[in-house]
Amino acid sequence: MDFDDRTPIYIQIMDMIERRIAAGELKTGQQLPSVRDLAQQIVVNPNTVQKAYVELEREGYVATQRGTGTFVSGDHGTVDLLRQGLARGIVATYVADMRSLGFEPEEITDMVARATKEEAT
Amino acid sequence: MWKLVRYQLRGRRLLYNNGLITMGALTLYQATRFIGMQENPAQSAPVSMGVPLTMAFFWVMFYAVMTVINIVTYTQDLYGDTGYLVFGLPLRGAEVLGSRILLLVIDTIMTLLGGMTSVLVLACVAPGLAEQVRPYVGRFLLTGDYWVMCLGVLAVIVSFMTIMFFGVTFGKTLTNSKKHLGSVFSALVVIAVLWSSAQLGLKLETTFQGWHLSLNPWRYMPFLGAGTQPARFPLVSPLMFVTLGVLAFAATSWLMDHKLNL
Amino acid sequence: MTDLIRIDGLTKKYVNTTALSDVTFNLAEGHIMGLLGPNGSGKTTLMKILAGLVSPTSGTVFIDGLAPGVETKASVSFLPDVNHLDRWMSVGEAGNFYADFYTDFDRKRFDELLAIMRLTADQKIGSLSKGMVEKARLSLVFARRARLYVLDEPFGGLDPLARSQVLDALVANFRTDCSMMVSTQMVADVERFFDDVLFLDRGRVVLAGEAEDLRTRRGGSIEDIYREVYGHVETR
Repeated sequence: MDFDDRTPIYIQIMDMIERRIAAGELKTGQQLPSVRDLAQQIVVNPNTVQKAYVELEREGYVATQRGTGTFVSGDHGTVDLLRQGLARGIVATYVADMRSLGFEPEEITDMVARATKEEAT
Repeated sequence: MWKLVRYQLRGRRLLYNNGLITMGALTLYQATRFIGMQENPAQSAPVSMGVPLTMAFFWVMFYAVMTVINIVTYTQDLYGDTGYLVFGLPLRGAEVLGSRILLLVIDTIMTLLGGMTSVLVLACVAPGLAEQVRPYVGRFLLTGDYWVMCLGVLAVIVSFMTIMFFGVTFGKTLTNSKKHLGSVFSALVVIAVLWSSAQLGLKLETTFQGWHLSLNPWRYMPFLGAGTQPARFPLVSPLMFVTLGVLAFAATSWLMDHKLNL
Repeated sequence: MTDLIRIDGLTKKYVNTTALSDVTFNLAEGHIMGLLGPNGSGKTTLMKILAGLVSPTSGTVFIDGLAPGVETKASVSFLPDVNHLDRWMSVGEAGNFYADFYTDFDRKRFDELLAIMRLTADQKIGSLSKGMVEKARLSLVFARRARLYVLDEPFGGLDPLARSQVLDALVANFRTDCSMMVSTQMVADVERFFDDVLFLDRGRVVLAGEAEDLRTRRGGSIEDIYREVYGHVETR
């Protein structure tokens, strides 16, 4: 996994896991890789992975059971909220980018409609 | 410490093997010089005596080489990169130095025994000399005084070398100089120590005039011309030298433990 | 979490120069610290003091509550930035030497590391390329189950593949009951491994802190911060 060293890595790990939960790749109740395993997979300091897991738990997306591991927690509603939240962020960035290029709101909506139609085919 | 000694001995295996083989070959070579010498005792003895004496000289050279290697390796460890290995081991300074001193003692005993063997063997086949020597060899080897003298020489050599080790270590620890300046400095330290010890020795000698050791190591070698009169060996200077050696050992160990600058 | 290293007011003076001046920091157990700075900033001196090879002029150094000495050498595994092995030794003999003197040497781990590094026990140190010697020395250092690993430029002389092999080995061998101090010029490659970073300049600490915290506060990577702090970056 490619990391941007310019922003805290634990936040990037959190983002990655949140995305996967939102996209349904990680289902509620599914176990996350152990801190050590994930650290070896993405080649990062295990303490950083640990910190990401702790923060995710604080935000309520995962829960750690001592001795067993870390599991995706929350129900359908939580995941949906997460999805919506992430989507809003993506849309906001997109709109801001397009606005900075000088596009009007109607043009933006048109381009999105056309793009989604093309993508569907 | 013993583990370190084992490794150092193993590292010297080649040196010992080659060295002892060379000494053996030299002994044989020296023996061949006897060929052609007359059996006339009066004429041959002084000539043939030169052969075992030359052999003794070779042994001294062999010993000098081994000792120089000993202290040069130690200096390289202090000044070079291999020091990170030795001085990074969980050993006290006394153990590191002790292993080198032990190596020195082993070298000395090896030279003494090897030297004695080859010199006596040559003396026992030397034309003109052999008849004088052979009857006394057994008794000579049992002469307690001779071994006491050897022990004294061993103690003095080891003390001298310990002072050299101190000089080298002092140059690297307290001053942390790079190679050559450190060598000069350590040489100065050694000279200073030896000179002041000589001065102190003279002073002590005059105070302790009665302190002498009467030894007669050559008692059973009448042909050496020493007669049967015991010789008086000074006791105070060697004792003082050994004391200095012990102090040097303690000081060097302390420097290694507390003032090292690799 | 206990502090494995506690250093307070550490100063090292030589006849003509001052290598370290009033250095103070702690390193927690289970943390990896990056020691950064240009050549001559005092990194190697600091590491040698931790390894017990250089004596401090003043200040206190505590490793696991002990001042550097015989006991700490038994629990500190040091990788110098130069080859410290005898050229006539073979890799296996070096392993035997370490095993003989360090009770924390793990022979099985040594063999595993050699396999990863593609080295064999019978190769003589003198016959190995610079990068392979480096890998051999790293294998020796990591085969010890030490409390503190002090690595001086472990990535110098390694090609990118070897570097990632070493980093993989570092992460795989990470334990929470030990700590690491790593000095490197390859800041970008390694910065994601640092829990803490310490920037030295001419013997003084100019910046210290947790890596992630510094990323947030200064809005950049550790390498960016390095450039800011020193005005330039030395690339190798």
